[in-house]
Amino acid sequence: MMFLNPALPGNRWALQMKEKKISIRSNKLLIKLLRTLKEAQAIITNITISKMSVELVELVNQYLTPNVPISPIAQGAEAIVFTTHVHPYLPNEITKDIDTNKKYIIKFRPPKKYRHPVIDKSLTKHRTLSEARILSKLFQIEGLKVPRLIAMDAVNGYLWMEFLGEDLPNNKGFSNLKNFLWMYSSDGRDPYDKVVKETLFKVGEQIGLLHWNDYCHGDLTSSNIVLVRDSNDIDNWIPHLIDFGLGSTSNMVEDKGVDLYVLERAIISTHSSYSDKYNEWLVKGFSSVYEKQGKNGSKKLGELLGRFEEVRLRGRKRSMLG
Amino acid sequence: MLVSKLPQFPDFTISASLFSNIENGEDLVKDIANIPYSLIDTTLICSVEQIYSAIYRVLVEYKFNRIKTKSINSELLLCLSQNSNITQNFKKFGINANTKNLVIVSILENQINNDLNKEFNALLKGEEIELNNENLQKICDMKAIRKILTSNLMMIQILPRPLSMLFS
Repeated sequence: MMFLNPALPGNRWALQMKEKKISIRSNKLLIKLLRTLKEAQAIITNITISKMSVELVELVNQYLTPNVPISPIAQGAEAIVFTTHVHPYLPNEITKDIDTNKKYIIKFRPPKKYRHPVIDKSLTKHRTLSEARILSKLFQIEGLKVPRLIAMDAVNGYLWMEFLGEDLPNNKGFSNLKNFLWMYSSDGRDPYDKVVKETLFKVGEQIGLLHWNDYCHGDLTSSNIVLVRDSNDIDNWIPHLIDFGLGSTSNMVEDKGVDLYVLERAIISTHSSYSDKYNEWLVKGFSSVYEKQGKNGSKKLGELLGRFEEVRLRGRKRSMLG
Repeated sequence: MLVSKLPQFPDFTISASLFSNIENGEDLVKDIANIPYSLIDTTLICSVEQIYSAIYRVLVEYKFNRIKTKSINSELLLCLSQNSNITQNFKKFGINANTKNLVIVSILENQINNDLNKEFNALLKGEEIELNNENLQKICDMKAIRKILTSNLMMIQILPRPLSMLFS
């Protein structure tokens, strides 16, 4: 029997149906229903993107001029993300040697109408700058994989980055960790496959490296981890961390513990049946980075995992009083 | 000569050339204030991306913000590094009397100058070679770049990937 997490809206609905004794003949049907729900949700998100941002897309188009055709791929509270095939500044003579089919990401922080224009401008500038700064520093850490920064316009709130990832086979969506795990838990594939184990271990290593260098992601979810397939080995997925909009430098155990906790919650809520093993592998990969650093690393790891345990018991917010 | 337009700034025409074995470095330095182009010493330039990312930054600052130096040409020297100290950047990337190799860049707004190549050749006594990563890597000073990069993180970003890995 599939474990249903009541925290998810879809699951809650399914549980309610069960309580009302509406008979669902088999688990298969239930899973099918859930999948339809998921698809419906995806469609709704798509509609909201197109509906909400007609104005914003117009604004971006005006800024970029017709020379840079864009297609929106995601929208968050803070920014909209577009892709394009046009490099912001390299002449064709140079880019044609690199790769003809390369894509680039444009991340745009639109102005917020509810803020005073002056404050809005300075906030946008500040946040864009800080994300670019973190990205550029992380890029230099050996072994850590983050997208490369290409260009920045802090005043208008634009960041250009390299595009990472691909579409998974059989319409399984974009190659982030979430869809990847879903792919391995469907179509009769083994959710505990060796590839899954290795990939999750590597994801853990990436987070370990991030934290060992005293950086925090701030919004570590399974969709903010993009898997890039090794061109020589189909089953070798190299995880890249993306979206450092909430990133920060921090040597506090608390922030790192929260990072781990947020990812664990994300895995539990999207892949509940297998989350125990998945999280175990993640922590294993995470620990391996710290253990390589000798005595000091082990000490810090103990501290961190202890705090992780604490956070898990009390939740993400430290003080629940008042 | 590499002539191009940045997709976002169709009003600006950018022409860039790489010259080696420059002989009149001293004259150029004396006359630098009157030269309507940017002259960049290639000691610290090892990739075309470095120059063009700086040009992009110049145009962004020029169009949407304000430039911090007197002209677009000098702003390019400032934008080559994340450092905001103008004098320091001029010293680092600008030409001096001993400059042997340089990149010359012209940024023209709403103008077309078909004689630019001739003007470049008249101004610089040297040999024009193709502006590409390969040539730049041959003539740049890797030791100096390595030294500078330790204190200048932004520069690594703009290097092509295999190169940037050299420094990490």
